[in-house]
Amino acid sequence: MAREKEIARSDNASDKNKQRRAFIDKSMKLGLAAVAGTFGVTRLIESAEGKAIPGESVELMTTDGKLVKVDQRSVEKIPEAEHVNPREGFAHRKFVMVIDLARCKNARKCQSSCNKNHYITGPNAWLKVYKMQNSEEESPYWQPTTCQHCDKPPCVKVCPVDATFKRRDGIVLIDNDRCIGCRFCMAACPYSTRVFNWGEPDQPEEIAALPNDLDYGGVPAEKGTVDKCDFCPHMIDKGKLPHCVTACPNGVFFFGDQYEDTVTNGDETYRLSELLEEKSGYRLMEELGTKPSVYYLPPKDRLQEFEKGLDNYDEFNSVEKEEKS
Amino acid sequence: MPWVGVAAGRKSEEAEYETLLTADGKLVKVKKDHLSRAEVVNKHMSNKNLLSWLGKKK
Repeated sequence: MAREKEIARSDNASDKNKQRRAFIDKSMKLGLAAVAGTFGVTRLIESAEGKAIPGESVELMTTDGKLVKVDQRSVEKIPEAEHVNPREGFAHRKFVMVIDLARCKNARKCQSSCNKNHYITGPNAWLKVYKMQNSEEESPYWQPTTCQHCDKPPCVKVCPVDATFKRRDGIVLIDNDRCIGCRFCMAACPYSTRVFNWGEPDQPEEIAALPNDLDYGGVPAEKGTVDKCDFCPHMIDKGKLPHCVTACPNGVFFFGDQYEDTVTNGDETYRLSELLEEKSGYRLMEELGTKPSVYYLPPKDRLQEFEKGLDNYDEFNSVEKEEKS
Repeated sequence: MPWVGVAAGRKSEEAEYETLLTADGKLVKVKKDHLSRAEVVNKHMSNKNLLSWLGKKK
């Protein structure tokens, strides 16, 4: 009996020993796992903080012109900019136009292209070519006139419904859905470049059915609202030049970004500041303080005879009407 | 121990980034402290090298 008790006690002690060993074994494994886990987490943190962990590297260029190799894992994407807000315009841009009066022959291709691409059917075009003569002693010249996209636009100041507005890229636009047709802006504009849609626009049905798009000024036109040259933001958005610039056969219009100090007519590109200085560029009615974005180069060293332009001249007809049978 | 110094070494939550150009013409950002440890391949890229690197005409 005593022997049996002795065996039972011995078995009991052996079981406890086994349990203790198993406990120590488990604890050791758990400890090791914890250490390994912490080490892994530390490496992840180190990786996130950019400490030297070998990996695939990628070549990148810094803003100061260095070419560097950076660990692929530390490179983060910059989300692409969303579509330009038509009321805000393009960031970091300031659009300007230069019109070289020495080159203008009154070919009026600028006007017809603008009319066609903006579906202008009213009595007045947005772009007009005026016959100018400063004095009897001076010879006459042709002067294309668009909206001047003033930096201090009087039209924007007087609009009672915030329909006409200036964007950060310098373009002045009209929201035809907001326009109430009061024509205060037309009265305020010293350049007379705004036009009024007196009648129902005679536009193609598919154009008239389009929703009002601020990025495509005045398309579709609406009866009882004001329209004007929009500097073609819909073309700029595609990386193209405004219609008048590309249509002109004489390279009269230059368009560009003042911040880049560059203007182009599609064939020739100039530094804006140099062009204005060398050719004595000026702005219309500068004394008014409206700060237009359109510059003119005086008509010196003219490349053509003024009289040839008279063939195309029609003082009160700037929009060709299609003959209807 | 591996976790010692992690908290002390952690900087403010708002890390400063630098904008860089990739060879395919896209913009990316990299933390400034990563960049300071990056290997400099070319200290001053010429316009010709830049166009070549971008895969454009020389």
